[in-house]
Amino acid sequence: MPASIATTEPIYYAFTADREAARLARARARTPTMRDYPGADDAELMAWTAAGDRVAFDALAARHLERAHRTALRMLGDPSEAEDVTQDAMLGIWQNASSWDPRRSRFTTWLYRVVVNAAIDARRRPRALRLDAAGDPPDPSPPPSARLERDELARDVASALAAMPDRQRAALTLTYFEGLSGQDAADVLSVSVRGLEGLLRRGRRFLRERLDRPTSGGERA
Amino acid sequence: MTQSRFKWLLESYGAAFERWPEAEREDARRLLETSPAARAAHQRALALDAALGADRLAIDAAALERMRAAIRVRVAQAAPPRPRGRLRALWAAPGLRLAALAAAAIASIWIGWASANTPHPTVYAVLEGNPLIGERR
Repeated sequence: MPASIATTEPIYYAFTADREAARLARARARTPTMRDYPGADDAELMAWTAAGDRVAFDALAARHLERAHRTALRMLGDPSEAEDVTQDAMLGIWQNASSWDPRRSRFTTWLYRVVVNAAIDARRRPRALRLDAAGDPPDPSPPPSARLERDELARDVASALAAMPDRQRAALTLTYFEGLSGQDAADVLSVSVRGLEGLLRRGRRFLRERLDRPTSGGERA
Repeated sequence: MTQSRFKWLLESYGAAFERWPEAEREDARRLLETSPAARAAHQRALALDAALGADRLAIDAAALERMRAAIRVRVAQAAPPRPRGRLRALWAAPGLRLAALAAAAIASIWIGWASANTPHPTVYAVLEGNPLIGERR
């Protein structure tokens, strides 16, 4: 282990041969003026963030904000509420940056977990009016029939997703829309792969039953 | 791959094999080529996947900029990140965890060995030593 690490880092790094810990220790030892923010990976940015470096956190937010917002929006359906939840989740990441352990999970896994939990909490809070329950306002201009059909299907799917139990929706969001592997999605939701598959199966069944129901415009095939 | 395993994975991950566990994709493709039942189930899953694909999200670039600015302001006003607890940090070091476990194991063995080799007075010896109830000569 290089001498610089042994002298600049807390004693616990002296007892570990963990290369990742040593690499992050070297990154932390760099003064802010020496830091390459765009070139740093997530773990380095998080190490600097944990030390109170707001520029590092801003770089991290720029890199992952869209992912976080997309997930919150899928979970909540309402753009304004999703913005609030995304901001709260990012602030939570700033405040708890030092509790993330790169040896236990990837940063994106932790980020998804924070956002999904924040979204589930937000849905459990009572609100005066649920915008997703109120439905979309009618579109005054009649679009072409193909687009109308596609829009109607998209609306039905969005409505079914909004009515789906939270953890099933989270499982579908992570695997179908965010493209996470089964193992990664299971890590985010703190379940086994088999548990995740159970959530996905129930979610798909729920969706199929909802979409097969007769609608006002007739039955869907 | 059995039909029931194929069906389980199909009902979990949908029709796109790219989402399936990597180790089972090839077997699934082979089963799909040879089994009409698997093909029928796959067609049904494709229809549901297509419905899910219809729900497209439009992410507003202006909203992202707005959020980033708001987060920057909130972080500037917020306290620095909470430092990691000292004990937790120490426990996170695998070397120290190993040392603590070894120390606990050595202590248990020593306590066990010491108690086994210490002579314990029997009840009879205690009574005998008592001048009131002990044996009188």
